[in-house]
Amino acid sequence: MDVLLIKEGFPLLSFLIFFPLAGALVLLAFPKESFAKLWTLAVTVITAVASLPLLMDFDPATTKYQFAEFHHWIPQFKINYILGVDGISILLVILTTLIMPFCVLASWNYISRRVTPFMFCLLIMEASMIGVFVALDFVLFYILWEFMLIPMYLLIAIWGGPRKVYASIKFFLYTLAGSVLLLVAIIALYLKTGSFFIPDMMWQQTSSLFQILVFLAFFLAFAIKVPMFPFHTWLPAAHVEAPTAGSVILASVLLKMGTYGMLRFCLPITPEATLLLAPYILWLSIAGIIYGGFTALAQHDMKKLIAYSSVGHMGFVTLGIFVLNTQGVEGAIMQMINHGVTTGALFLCVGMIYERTHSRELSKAAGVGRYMPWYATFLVFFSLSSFGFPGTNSFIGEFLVLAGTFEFSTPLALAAIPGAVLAAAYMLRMLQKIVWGGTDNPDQSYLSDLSKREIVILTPFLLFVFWIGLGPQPFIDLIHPSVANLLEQLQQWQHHQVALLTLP
Amino acid sequence: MEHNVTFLGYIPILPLIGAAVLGLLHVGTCTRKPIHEKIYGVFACIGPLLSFVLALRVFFTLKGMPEEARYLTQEAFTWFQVGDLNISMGFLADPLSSLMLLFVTLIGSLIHIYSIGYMSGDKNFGKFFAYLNLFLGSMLVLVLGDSPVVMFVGWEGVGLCSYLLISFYCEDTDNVLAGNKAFIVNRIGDLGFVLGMGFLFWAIGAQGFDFMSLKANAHVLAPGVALTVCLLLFVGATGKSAQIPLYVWLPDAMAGPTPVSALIHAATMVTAGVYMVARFSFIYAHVPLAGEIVAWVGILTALLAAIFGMFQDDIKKVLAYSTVSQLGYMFAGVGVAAYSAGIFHVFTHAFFKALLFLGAGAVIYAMHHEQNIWKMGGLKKKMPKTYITMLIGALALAGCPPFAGFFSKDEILFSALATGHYGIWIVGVLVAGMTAYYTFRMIFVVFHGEPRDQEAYDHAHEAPAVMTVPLIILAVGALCAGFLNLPAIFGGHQQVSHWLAPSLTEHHPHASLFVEIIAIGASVLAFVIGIRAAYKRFGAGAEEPQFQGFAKFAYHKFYVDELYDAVFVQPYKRIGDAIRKTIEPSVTDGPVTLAAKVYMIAGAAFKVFQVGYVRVYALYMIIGLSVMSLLLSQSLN
Repeated sequence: MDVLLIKEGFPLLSFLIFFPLAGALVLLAFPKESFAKLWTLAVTVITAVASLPLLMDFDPATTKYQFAEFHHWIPQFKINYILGVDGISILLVILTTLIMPFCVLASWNYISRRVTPFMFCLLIMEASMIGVFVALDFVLFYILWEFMLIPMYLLIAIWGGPRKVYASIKFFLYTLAGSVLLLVAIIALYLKTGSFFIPDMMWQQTSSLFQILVFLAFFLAFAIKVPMFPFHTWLPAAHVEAPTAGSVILASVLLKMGTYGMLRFCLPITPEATLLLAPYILWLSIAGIIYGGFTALAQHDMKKLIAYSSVGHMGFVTLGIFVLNTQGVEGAIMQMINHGVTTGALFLCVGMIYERTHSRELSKAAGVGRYMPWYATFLVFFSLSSFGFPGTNSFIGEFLVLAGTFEFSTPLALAAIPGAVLAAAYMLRMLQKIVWGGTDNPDQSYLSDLSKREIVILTPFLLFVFWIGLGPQPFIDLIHPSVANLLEQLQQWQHHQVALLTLP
Repeated sequence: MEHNVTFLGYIPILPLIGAAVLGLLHVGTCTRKPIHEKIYGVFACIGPLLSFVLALRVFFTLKGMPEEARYLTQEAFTWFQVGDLNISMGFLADPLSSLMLLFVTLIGSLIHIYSIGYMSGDKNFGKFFAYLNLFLGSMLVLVLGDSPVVMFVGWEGVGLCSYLLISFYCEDTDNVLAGNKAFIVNRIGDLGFVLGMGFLFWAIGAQGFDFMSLKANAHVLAPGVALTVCLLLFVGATGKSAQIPLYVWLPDAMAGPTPVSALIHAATMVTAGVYMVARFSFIYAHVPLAGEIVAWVGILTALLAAIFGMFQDDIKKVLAYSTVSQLGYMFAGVGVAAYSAGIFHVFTHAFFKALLFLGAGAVIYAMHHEQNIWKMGGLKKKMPKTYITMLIGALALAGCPPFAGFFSKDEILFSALATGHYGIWIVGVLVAGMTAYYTFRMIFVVFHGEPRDQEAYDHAHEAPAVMTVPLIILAVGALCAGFLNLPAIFGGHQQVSHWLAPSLTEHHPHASLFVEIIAIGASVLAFVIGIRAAYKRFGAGAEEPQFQGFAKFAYHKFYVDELYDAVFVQPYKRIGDAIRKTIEPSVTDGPVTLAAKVYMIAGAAFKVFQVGYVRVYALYMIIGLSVMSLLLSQSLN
């Protein structure tokens, strides 16, 4: 337990989990819709504000898990309630808490029926998502990981579009199928190490076969969540049918759990298998980047376009993780945050058009820029960010990932780079249709430009786009020690292996 | 001597602030009551003019320094730092960037002023100036960037503005598609830039990735790596500076407003590639093979574009191909390691080509947005100021001594000859003749002879002063800029080359007077032949020709656009469509759907047995019991 920096006094992480949960329970007692909206907004804002001390009091000098909490839970099976954050998870927690108020705001008019249950689902979602990122006990992690599927399933199945049943079931079963093996792997690890405490499972000497099997079980669960090509087919369906807030949560937070899992579990728990299988995963990432780009290029539905662009962007993240060097991994973490900001904002933008035209077809939205200049301005900036324009956030992430890839292998970097052209091509195609339009636009003059509420929603995203784009160092400084420690341990472990092998 | 200063950053920031202010004003008011144009105009010109003043300050500060230590730096902040990778937002002003600064801010300011007249009445007046300010700011970042990465920020920024301004008249889908084409073709080039940076970084970047450190460490580059870096960076340059094979976007870029064509697509942005090669001269100078390739690509582009330019009927397309062709000369110059000659041609070309475009803009403005030269004619009586200034620009472009273009072009051709690049020199002289021909074909058809469209002619009028004054200033530049680098043979001291010397890694070729005279003589002869041919054909009125054979082939630009479309664009689209329609649903998602189907079929199969009648379940029980007892009895036996 020496890897935990137990926090005395106020249990901040528990508060972040249980406050939204309690907020959700309050809604059961007071189900009036107008109250539900305001209450949920208040709860998410308070959670967001309460999460800020994490940033302020976070000590980047240590690589231990901070703000840690430890309570016995089911001592017979050594299952404990352990929470903590390090450089890998802290920004993801903050991203989650900060994005939730905007999801509430984005649903203000969009959700017109069963408002209270919707808000209830959002709060449950928030509690379980934060829990996933801070849980350090594998059983706790697994419970939250699976639990999260239920509110998301409901968000799509109840408030979704025309094919909501198909999309929600596909989402639920596909991701659940991946997680079943995760449970098997967790139990196998418990039997091997006698502990559910995640750091206890790291850097153990286990047989190659065992590592590979555990790795594959992990990988399948996480790759489906990311989603990596070719396990991505649930994503476009889910995105297209989900309400705006659902798409934002899905893109900004849920997908990150897959890559978070790879960093947190695959690398330190199964280092040998990671080193062995990394080349294949890298090429799978490249395939995802190219495949996602090409597919996005051919879409007529804005949400599908952005969904496939996510496949490409997340390909960059997995690429960065498995090149296993500082630039790559830190770029990958930055890119996780960036994708959360940018793609979340893009889904919000699509939602705003959908509220007006009741269509996500590019052709139906043609030429809205003329009547919605504020909207067009925001959309152009977020699109630039999406294809990694210098000065915006994604440039930093992609640049670092590419730099890391370059160090690892030149052919790999060469293969990844055409993704940048494709990204520009499909985003410009979208801008051309929506913002600039053409000679045969449908009549859009009835459209009203963004309301104050909508500008308030989008502005913080834009601030982050440029803040991370122009001054990313504070963010990098937060994640650097943990990543450096992870990679150093990996290297030590590797040397140790070599030493073992060369023993007479 | 203090090299760290704090005012460099303001040079790009001032126009960028202008862009933000104008953009907010425009977006905030355009759907309601628009703001008066004058307010936009004043705001728009403040940034560029102040930047010009600061550029002068940079120039004179540098001039006051000892020659070998002429540089100013400013490190604004550490941008990002991960492991060995340490990138600062820093600016560097040395003789090379100070020269670029001067003419970029000067011509930028003039074109801002001109645009107040040209764009008046446009409902997106504010947006136009916001973009134009944004462009200037980005261009200045490109010029001042102290590392390849900061340069790349400006590089992408100018590309974005170029895209936004080409698509400016977005009611017409073709214009937007031209913008997309420009951006995507540039992005393809940018890949080269990024890869080149990558190779460079992993070779010598860990000791510092700013230009000064790179220059200091360039000698340890392995020859193979140096060649790779040079060629990859040059791929980036072919995109931005419209060289073979990526030149195709520039003629289409003429869809933008004419001041944009003058500023971005003639004077400044498109020369960024040449600037980049000169900036990296410390590597190129040690890789002769790379230089050879650059020079040949340049001169062949010059030839190809000149051929196309001879057959165009759109006044802006003629100038666009001429720009591509002149950029080719510049690359020929930097390719034969005559970096200062290439940059000098960038400098003079900025004046006379901006002048020609703005003149063409005045003509288009007067003819109510008619761009076909075969609808014009006899305009010199109606627009004398435009005619005279354009004539000066044309003489400079055609290389008539003593106009600016003559000296700079001659410097390049002389360098090619003196360094033994005879092939490049011969093609260069040939292109010089063709340049004179197509330039004066345009002048004669537009301004001389009889009006071809009487009604348009009757309505034509001279442009307002806000447009003609910039023309006159640029004409002075086109007339005099050449004298700044007068070679010794004419009694000059080559001030520009001397000024640039500390920034560049070059050796001036020493050649006999005889070689110099041959070079000059050939250039003058080519000019005379070209202009004579144009006069014979178009001097006294000519009808629109019907193209046959090769001319028709050239008129259609060798069908290169169609070729690219068939070879690159359509297959990409088809791959995307194939994935969307076939591969994604059946191949990628196939196993998933299959798994679901298997479960459903299995479920349906088991459903058959669940009929819900007690008698059937009783039957199952009897069957089961009999089978069990049978098995039991067998095993007992």
